[in-house]
Amino acid sequence: MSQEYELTLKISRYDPDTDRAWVQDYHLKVGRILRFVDLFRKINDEQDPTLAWSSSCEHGQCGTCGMKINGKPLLTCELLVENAVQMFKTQTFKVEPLTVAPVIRDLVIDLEKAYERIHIVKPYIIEFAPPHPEGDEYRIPPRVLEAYVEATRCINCFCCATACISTQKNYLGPNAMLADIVRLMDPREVANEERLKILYSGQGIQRCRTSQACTFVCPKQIDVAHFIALGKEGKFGKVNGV
Amino acid sequence: MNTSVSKTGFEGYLKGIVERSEKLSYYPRTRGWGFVLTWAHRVAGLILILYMFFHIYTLSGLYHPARFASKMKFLHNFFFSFLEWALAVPVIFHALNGTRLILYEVFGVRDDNLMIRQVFFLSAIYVLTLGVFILMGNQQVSAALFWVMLTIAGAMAATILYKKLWHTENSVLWKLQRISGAFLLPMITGHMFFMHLNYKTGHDVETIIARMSSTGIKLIDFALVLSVFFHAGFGLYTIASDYVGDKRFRGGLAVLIVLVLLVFAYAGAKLVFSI
Repeated sequence: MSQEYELTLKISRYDPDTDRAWVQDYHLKVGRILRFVDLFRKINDEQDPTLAWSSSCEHGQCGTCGMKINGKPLLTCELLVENAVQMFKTQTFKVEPLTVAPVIRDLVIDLEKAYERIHIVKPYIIEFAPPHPEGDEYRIPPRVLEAYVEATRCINCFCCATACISTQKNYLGPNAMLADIVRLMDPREVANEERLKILYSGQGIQRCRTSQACTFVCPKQIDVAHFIALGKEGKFGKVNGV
Repeated sequence: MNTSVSKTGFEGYLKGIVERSEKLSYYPRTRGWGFVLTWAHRVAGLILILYMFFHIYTLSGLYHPARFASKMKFLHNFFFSFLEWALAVPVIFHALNGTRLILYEVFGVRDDNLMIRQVFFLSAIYVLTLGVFILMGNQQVSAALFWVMLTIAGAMAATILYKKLWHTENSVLWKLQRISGAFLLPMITGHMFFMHLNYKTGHDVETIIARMSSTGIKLIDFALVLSVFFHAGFGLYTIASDYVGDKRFRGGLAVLIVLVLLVFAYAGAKLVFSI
């Protein structure tokens, strides 16, 4: 027999037309394997069609459904009711939007604004290394790839940036730093000087306080703090190439 | 990796207490223990800065030895002795947690669970041992030998960090913060111990003046004043820069921090060279 839970969701609401913010309670009787995005859909279908929330792939690959549940930033498409009850030891959940960008409505934040930080670090190969002489593809030795492949799993869900102790005033954020570091460790990237300047800029890794909250909350289990610490240790070389 | 500390014995008992309280367990559950320790590091740092101001103020009484002696007499009771002992908690925690951060950032030590345990375990040992010394109050040691040993340890720690960090692209102030921290680790923790070896060492006006009249001690104390106030100033600016977005306001705060700390550092340096 499948277990049912009687949940109370205390959801942060925001109406941009009236600029009014409030917390609204929703009571639901649900099965144990429903995800939180399913709960929001259920609220839309059965109780309140005006509740706004965002999701896209709902497979933990796009990062659109990141929210704070009882204060913890996580992907709501990955959070099962059963696991949430076990994790927080309660059936009452406070649901809030992430704090990395202005709220558009209810649980939806302006991801374009959040992504401005990522655009600053140029999350792509700025200048390609010449291709392998014996073929048209660039070959990355497995041992080289192994050192940074974990960091390539980042989906920019901004959970780490929300959890970060350095807040978002003057720091580009852990995921932005990770995007820069991934390309610094990628042998296909040639523009390392430009990347190092970004990494050690006033908004770069010197703003990181090594609280490791980024690692703790990362839904993709990336040890973000480890990669940032490599930068502090000087593992990526110097701006003048020494 | 995650920074939660697994439950074993006494540690599990303490963690159980934290977990039973929704308020106490909020940050460990939502951000991890590393986050909690980083906050505690800040709070301990702020306590130490306030104490530094108070310390310079009380030591300035040495300009009038008789008045200083009567103040010390007034403070010689269980309550103030207890406060002196309690000050060891932020001192040792800030020192050991700073070491944990340096080991993580600069030396690639990633076993943070173990390091967090060590911070708590070694802090407890330090605080208890200091308590025993305060209660005994009858230990003697050569001041010259004690401070030479400590200064060598501090200089070595700072040099190791300098060699490891200086060539990196991190900002100069960021690097100096860590290097000064490494120097202060043995110096400040040792300073607390030295002052409580016996009652006279830290409270008797003639003993203090005699010690501070030594050129070697003057140089060491001056090095301490410089490192402590730089470390405190950059630490304060670091906290401010996390919360103040406006560049001008941040600049203003930086100027204010520098001015206040310069005033106290000047008072400290003057004291060192005038006594």
